[in-house]
Amino acid sequence: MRWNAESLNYYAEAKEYVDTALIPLVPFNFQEKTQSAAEQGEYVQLLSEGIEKQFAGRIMLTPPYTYLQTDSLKSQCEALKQWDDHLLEAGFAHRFYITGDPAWRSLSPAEEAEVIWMPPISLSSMEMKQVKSVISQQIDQIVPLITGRW
Amino acid sequence: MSEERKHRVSRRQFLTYTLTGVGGFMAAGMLSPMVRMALDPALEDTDDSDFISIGLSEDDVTEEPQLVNFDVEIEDGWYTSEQTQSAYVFRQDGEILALSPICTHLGCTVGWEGNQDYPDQFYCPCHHGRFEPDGTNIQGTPPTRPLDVYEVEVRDGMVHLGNIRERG
Repeated sequence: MRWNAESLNYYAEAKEYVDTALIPLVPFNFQEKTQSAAEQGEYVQLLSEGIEKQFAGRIMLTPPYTYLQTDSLKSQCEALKQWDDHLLEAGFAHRFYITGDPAWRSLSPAEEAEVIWMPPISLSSMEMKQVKSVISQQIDQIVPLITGRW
Repeated sequence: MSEERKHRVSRRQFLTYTLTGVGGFMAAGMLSPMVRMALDPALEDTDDSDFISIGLSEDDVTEEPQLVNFDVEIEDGWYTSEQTQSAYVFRQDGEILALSPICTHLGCTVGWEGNQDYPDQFYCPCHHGRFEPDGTNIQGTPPTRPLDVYEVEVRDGMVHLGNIRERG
């Protein structure tokens, strides 16, 4: 399910079945390596959307958590902790954060939340068909991480 | 009154006739597109063209369900985009069956033999929903109706899929 008005209708009815939140971590800055930051964000969102499509009945895809890369990592992590607490309170026992940013690799907002780091792949030079197959390969790698937790 | 005089058309009559005639043509010119617009949707050919080839030959359809991906053009607002859809295609009692892999419970994607404990069944990883090979939901698992089916047509030896249909 997604955070949109239509899905939220379903969510209200099927709340007890939706116990997993998926949060894409999208970097943002206008100073350095903007190109690769943007690419990373797109990649992370494509991955998240693909996973949501497969597990639409149990996963809620939230709006991307967008962070300013010039901020200190510590303050970013604290802000993310707020999201995490909020989601836990809302009944999401499992929270998965998807990122392509190595900075997040060693961090986790909470113990039972998992940050899934995928090495970002540059998709801009690829054809749509190729993008789809690359993304679905990556998703196949992430799926066991999620189902393993259930 | 002579014969000749009888057939005479007065200036007034002539003008009335020509103006009515020209006016009539102009009105027809304006009205006919309107009428056409109103009738057109009713006259248009329906379905038929909705069937699309999934790139699978009739001979390649086995008894074992195989997952086939195919692209469908979706119009969403101003955009036309290609969306990938999938179907489990297999032969049952000689007939070709194409099942949608979308779980009828909450819309996750089911997998054929997706769980080792349940061979010969479709399995949904989200809430352990299970379906018989023909798509019938198994009692005691969350789904309440069978997997949806695609309309199947074989054209020139190739499998074509049409609209998706709910059962049960």
